[in-house]
Amino acid sequence: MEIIDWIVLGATLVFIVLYGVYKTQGSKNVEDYIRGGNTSKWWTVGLSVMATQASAITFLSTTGQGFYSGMGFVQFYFGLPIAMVIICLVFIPIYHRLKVFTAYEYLESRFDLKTRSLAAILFLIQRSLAAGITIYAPAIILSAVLGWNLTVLNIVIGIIVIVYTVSGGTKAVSVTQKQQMGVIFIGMFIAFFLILDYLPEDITFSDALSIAGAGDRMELLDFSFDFDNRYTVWSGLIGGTFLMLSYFGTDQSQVQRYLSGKNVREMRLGLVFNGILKIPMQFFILLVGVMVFVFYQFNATPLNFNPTATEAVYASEYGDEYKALEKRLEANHKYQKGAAYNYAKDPANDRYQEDGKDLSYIAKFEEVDKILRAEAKELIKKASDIVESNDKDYVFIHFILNNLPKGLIGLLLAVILSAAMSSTASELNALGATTSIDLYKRNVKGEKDEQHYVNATKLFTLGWGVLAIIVACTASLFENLIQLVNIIGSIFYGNILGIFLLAFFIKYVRSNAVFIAALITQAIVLVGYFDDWMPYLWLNLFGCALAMGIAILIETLFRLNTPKNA
Amino acid sequence: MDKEPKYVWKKSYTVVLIANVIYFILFYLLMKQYV
Repeated sequence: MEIIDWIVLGATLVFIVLYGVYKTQGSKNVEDYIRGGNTSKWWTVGLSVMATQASAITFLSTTGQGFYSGMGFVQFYFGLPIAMVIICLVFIPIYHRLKVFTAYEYLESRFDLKTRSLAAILFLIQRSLAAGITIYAPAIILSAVLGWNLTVLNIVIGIIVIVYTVSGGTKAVSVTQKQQMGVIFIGMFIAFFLILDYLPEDITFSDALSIAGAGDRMELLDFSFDFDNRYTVWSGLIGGTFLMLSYFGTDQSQVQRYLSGKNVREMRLGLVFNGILKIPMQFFILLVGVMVFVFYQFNATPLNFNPTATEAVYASEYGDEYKALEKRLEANHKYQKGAAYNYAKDPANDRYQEDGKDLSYIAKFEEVDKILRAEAKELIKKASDIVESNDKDYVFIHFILNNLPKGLIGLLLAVILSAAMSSTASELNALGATTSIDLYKRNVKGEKDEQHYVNATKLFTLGWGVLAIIVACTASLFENLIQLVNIIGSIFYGNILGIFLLAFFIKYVRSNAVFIAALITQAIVLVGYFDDWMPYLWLNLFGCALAMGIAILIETLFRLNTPKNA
Repeated sequence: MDKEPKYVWKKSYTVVLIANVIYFILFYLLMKQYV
């Protein structure tokens, strides 16, 4: 990294933080601090909701997903617009009418305190772990490729977020997220057009898409009913709707974003904005990854994009074997490059006949590429138990550091850190608010003034921030922690959504039945996960259906056993 | 007095759904073109 990159990176981040702190200081009451004084316009709500969901790993991982697996991941978001409409129709009017600060407050008015507390505690467990990983995930990647100290990076990201989130609360989170989304969009557009510019002169955008298609990267839609296939139209529409309903409708880190809207209209339009833009945004990020794939058809790539993995295998007894694989990759790349050029001149050049089958050269060399990379991963695993052999998250950052001009590297790093900060800020903000409103304020004895609760919320936010940094710093002690957080989310989300759907739609069910059903459901979902009943994403739907079914059953049994005039 | 309707459908929800159906069709056409 050159000095100009440091200046761009530092200036962008410092400006965002200082602007956020300056514009939002001095909240005098809880309304101001937690709901941002209900002043946000729809575009602020919409950008804030999008910025909360788009973490750094979204940009690193989604582009890597596009590079290795193509555009199919876009189907994961197909349920999002449906969920947005349901939340606008059902959730927002209720939250607004009850003037709640947190989603869980509603559960007390509908059921009772113990159900509210249970949902709040499930949220705190899951989200506090996730906040640590939101910091850790980009930090581990940036430290690997840039040689920065991991612990220092974790602490720096954490402290920056704590400063403005504690200082300005929800308003600071929204204000900074607008700037962060601006940086993210500008950075990603520049990266996209530069990739196209870096392609050989006679390769048009349409040629690039054709090459991507020949390399099996343009399979946008999968209509199969294969349960094991993670991303299909059906899993996106059905599983995705439940997942997005849980996330946007019951997760306080998202609910708090739209509760800051000026009125119901602004809140709704904020989610409508998200419902219209989210899928094109994800499509675009994936397309960037696919264009990186096309770029690397004409340019050499490392056998594994994670430099730590390469170093580990070089230093082991498998070093020579690995170097032999690198030579084979280099030889195969020459064929790949030739095939891509030939295809661009005339797609017919790409076809050949073998055993009566019509085959593609690009697909053939791509298959060899895949085999070599899979063999390399096996060697890395043999060389080290600790190093991550899956290099999907390292592809885009490798491209940035090795190909973008000076200054723009700093801007793209600002994109990644902005995304990390925007998600973490929402998480800390929500953790502080939930602890303060659902647990502290609800249980504290005696009259306290508004300033007391503002200070308490600030203190809780600070505490959760420190905990997130500790989780981030110790995250490397656990294997596969990023996946673990997604699994923990799926284990709890279905149950929480079930509680909320019962509250909204099934008036027949009362508090005790819901509470017992939630506890039973949680136990069954945990057994189901450990006994490997289904891929973990489906636990969302399973948990939700189970919580609702058991609650209705228990309520019926209660009623049958209760005398009518009791 | 008339009871306030429970769920009020807004035009913007139709816009969200139509926009996403259009994306879906475009994705399908894009896939047909390049796969």
